[in-house]
Amino acid sequence: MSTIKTPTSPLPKLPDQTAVSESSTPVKVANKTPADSPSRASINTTTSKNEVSSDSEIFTSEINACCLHYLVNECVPLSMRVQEKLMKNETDLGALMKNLKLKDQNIRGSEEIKEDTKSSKGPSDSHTREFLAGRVDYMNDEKYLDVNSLYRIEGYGFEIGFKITDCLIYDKSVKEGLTVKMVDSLEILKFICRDVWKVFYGKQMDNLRTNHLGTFVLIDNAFKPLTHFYSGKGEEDTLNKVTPFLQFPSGLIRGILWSLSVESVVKAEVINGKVPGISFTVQTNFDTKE
Amino acid sequence: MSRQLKQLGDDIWRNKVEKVNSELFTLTYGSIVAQLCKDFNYNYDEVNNELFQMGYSIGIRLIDEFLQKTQLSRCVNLKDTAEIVSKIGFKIFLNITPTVAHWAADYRSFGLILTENPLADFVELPDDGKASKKLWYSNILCGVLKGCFEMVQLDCDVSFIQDTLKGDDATEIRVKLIKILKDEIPAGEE
Repeated sequence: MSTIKTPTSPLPKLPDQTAVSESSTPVKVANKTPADSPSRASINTTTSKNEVSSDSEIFTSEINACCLHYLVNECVPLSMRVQEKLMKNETDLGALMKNLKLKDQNIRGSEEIKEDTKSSKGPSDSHTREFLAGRVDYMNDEKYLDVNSLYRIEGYGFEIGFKITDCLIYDKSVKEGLTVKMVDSLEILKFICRDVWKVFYGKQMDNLRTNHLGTFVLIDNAFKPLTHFYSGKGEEDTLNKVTPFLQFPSGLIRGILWSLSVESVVKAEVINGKVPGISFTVQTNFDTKE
Repeated sequence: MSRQLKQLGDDIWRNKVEKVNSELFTLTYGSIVAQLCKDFNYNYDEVNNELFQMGYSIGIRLIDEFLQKTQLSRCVNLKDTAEIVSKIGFKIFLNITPTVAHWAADYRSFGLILTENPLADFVELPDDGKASKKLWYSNILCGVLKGCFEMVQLDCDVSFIQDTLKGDDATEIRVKLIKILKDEIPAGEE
């Protein structure tokens, strides 16, 4: 099912994969660059020709880090609003369809449907209250932890991870003057811990563990976007509200793995109920080639 | 005055600001817009609207960051404001300096011409005939400006009037002062 884009070569497996803390061993290098598969999107924000041809141009311009963080954080209320609007359209459409059916005399139980329409309309109206910008009221909405909107945030992360991988690998290879090749999931995870986290959050992950069966645990003891995340109602409330903000990085990790042809499921958790410490459990499709 | 501002902006940018690659930002923003377009089934009015809303939420927080970094006092007139927005605001956040131009005769509205736009690097609009007419790709900027202005008691209309992505000659944001707000207790917090 996985589409293979990068050479996951059948190199002999590294014998020394004991619990790795990702500071020591350098990432494997080889002579072939995997950064040449152009990505695709409806709005093209991906690697384009001029980017590849001019080495000095890429990754030189900079912007304020807080812009990126504000943007990413804003994904959460955005996703809620989008979900709400889509839901509204759906219920409107649903109501419309049901009304159409009502005219058909032959359909039985049309009274019930009518009831349904009414009851479904009631709450949807109350949801369309005004969104208050810049406030945290939206976090108290029951929709805050709605699965669809969580999934959408994860999707944002995924998409970005998927698109950014080529750039990051290219950047790495230019900076280090070598071409980078990632041969197995462990290398990729190390790449995420070190390089991806560095560019996105300005620090590396603190720890990486694996059971050598495709499960990895990535630990960041002070996850940057959540360092000032605290609910006035106490710790328990903070924990309840943190979930949507963990979706984005989870999606990011999944997206990067996917673009390097590793399928995975990523789950983020707060370590010991203390907020800036986050662990990401990554379950990959471990291929059992001996 | 204008030289000093430029100096201040450069200084802050160089010394006080934590930085990330702009490509990362570009891609992130691009992905969000692309996803929005998909979600709303290419209804670009909705997309513009959401981007603006997003920007607005960012803007009313971003102003704190701005004031904290710059320690600037109140502007005397809109001319000052325009200079500060371009030479310091844009500089310390996006590392660009738009040109202030096209003042209206009554000095209540001006244009910001963006010669470069980190949001729109490598971007092509969808080729469906609609996008180039309706979608303001960088509309989030308008929202941010709107939010920031509102927080310093300037009720402004902010919108794009041209965009190079659409084939125009320049990218221009139009800012129009509607009125100066009085200090008020926020709604619902009496």
